[in-house]
Amino acid sequence: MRTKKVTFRHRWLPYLLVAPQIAITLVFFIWPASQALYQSVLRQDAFGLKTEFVGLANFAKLFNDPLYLESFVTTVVYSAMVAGLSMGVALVLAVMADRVVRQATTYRTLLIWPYAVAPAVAGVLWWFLFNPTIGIAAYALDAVGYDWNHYQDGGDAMTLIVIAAAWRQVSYNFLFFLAGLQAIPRSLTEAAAIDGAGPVKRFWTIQLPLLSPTAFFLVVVNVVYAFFETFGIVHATTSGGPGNDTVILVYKVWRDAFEGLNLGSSAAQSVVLMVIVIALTAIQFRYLENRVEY
Amino acid sequence: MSDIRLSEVRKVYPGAAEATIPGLSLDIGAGELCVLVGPSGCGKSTLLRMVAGLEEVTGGEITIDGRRVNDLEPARRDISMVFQNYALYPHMSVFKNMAYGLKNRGMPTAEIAEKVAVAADMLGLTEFLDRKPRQLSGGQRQRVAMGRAIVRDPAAFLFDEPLSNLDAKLRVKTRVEIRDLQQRLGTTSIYVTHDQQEAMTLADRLVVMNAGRIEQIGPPMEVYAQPASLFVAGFIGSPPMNMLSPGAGAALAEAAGLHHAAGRAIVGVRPEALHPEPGGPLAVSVRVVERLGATANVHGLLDDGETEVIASLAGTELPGPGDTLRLGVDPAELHLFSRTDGQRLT
Repeated sequence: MRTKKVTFRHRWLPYLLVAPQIAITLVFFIWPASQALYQSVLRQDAFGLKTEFVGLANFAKLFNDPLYLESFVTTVVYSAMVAGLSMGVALVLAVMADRVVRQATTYRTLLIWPYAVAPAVAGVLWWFLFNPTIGIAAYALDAVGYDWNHYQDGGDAMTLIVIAAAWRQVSYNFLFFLAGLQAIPRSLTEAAAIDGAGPVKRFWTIQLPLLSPTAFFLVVVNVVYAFFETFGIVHATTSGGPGNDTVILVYKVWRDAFEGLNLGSSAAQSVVLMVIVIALTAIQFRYLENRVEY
Repeated sequence: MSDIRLSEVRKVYPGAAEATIPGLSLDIGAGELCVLVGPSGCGKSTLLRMVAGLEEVTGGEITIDGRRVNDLEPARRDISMVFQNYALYPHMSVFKNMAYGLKNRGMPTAEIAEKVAVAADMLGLTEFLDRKPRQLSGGQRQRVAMGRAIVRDPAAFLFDEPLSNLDAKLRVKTRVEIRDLQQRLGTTSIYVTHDQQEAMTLADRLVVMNAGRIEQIGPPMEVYAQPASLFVAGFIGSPPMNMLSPGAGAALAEAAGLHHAAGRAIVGVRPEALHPEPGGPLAVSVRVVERLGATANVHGLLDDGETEVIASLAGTELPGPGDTLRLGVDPAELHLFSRTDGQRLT
């Protein structure tokens, strides 16, 4: 590989140029992460007067806590549904947009908009739509005989946050799927058409296999998104309820720290999440580096 | 074996002011290899893609084996196509690439294996059947594309510049292989290329196209010997035919006894028809001599100082730059073209 070598006249200039990025990383990532690591091995009394070192006791307690394990399961189910729903819808939209010839940019632009909506706002939006009293979606469901109430029904609550989280992510996935589809040479689909494959068969046997690297990348991105970035959605809609039915791991980190005031346990949970995100990133780099070349 | 007929076929792209193909008729006989040749943008690929069913036909009719195919899906036209970039399915092995079309038609697995084996053997691909396209060289990929075309035993082969991604040496070799294969299988073929040499060597019949129209149809040697227009004369043959303006060509025409044309028609003479002749009608001051081995291309200027002439000369005693060379030509080798519409004058 050819690398471009840039020479600076002043020795300190390159350091100055990277300084802001390093400062941001230090303040917003390294420092909090090290604090979390540090806090995760400490235990504080109820009044915050005394702090003692407890080793890995916080972690041991965590993995023996049925509520925590339950939250783990909830999170896995939730992120699988978010990734599945948002990628599925995005793929359908991308395939349709790929066929559109006229006004293609308009469709694309409109489909990208939801991504500009902040998670909390997206949550509130869907919360209004599905509000059992005033929501239009709840009203429509009522009309077909379904009594929607995400305040009482855990399934409904889960559905609500999955839809809100997936809706926003559809735009992102759509962009990648569309780019992936458009990168497939036209002659391939034409050759398949001559080889007797109809549009549906062409999709399953040619386009989808060629999209698999994109799809894999998106699975990782979507799981990371569902795990870590959807706190705002949960907080703005269900607040983890009813009961603990929609308490995903990030939400539990926040709740245990700021409502339960159990800093040690919360920090330990953060560390677990940190390990997960590092693992996912590693997987992504490992496999995307060796991604299939055509 | 099937014939392909195009009658008054038109193509107008939506939003385009002018027709890409304003109305073209062509009959391709069963078992014939017909080459469409022309500069890029002349509509040859569009025409091929209309036969394949990849472009809609704006007007006219296309029949394959007597069956109107205008509105048929590509799959139902019983044709196969070799693309310029080969269009191999990158995620499938060579075997699967070749079997794909058969599988889609519901052929039993055993029969597919047999057919692919036969085709692979014919093309020397047997040892590569398990490889993916990216593990093959350019020439091997080209052969897989051919294999995918022949394995289905279609009514017609369509070739869209299948050799342009190969290097010069491989191109010549593969050209011969394609010709041999087509003759053995006897399948009607349409072959599109912009390379006049490829066109000459492959074709049973040559169709020279320009701006969506056919300039001339005929066997390659006939097109070469009797070009119907200035365009064909300039396009077919390498190095290209010398075109002398009526003034510059007058001496040649007079010497050939064509007094009625002298000074009135454009005179064309192929570089290979010129030969050194003491006191010959053309006086050329030599500028560059390109030695090609058996022959050499001598580039020079006529004594009017502006008409460039190329002479393809054999032998070892060649002139050098600055020399003046006198050239003559056999009267039968002169081509006369109208100065108004560029058509051949007989």
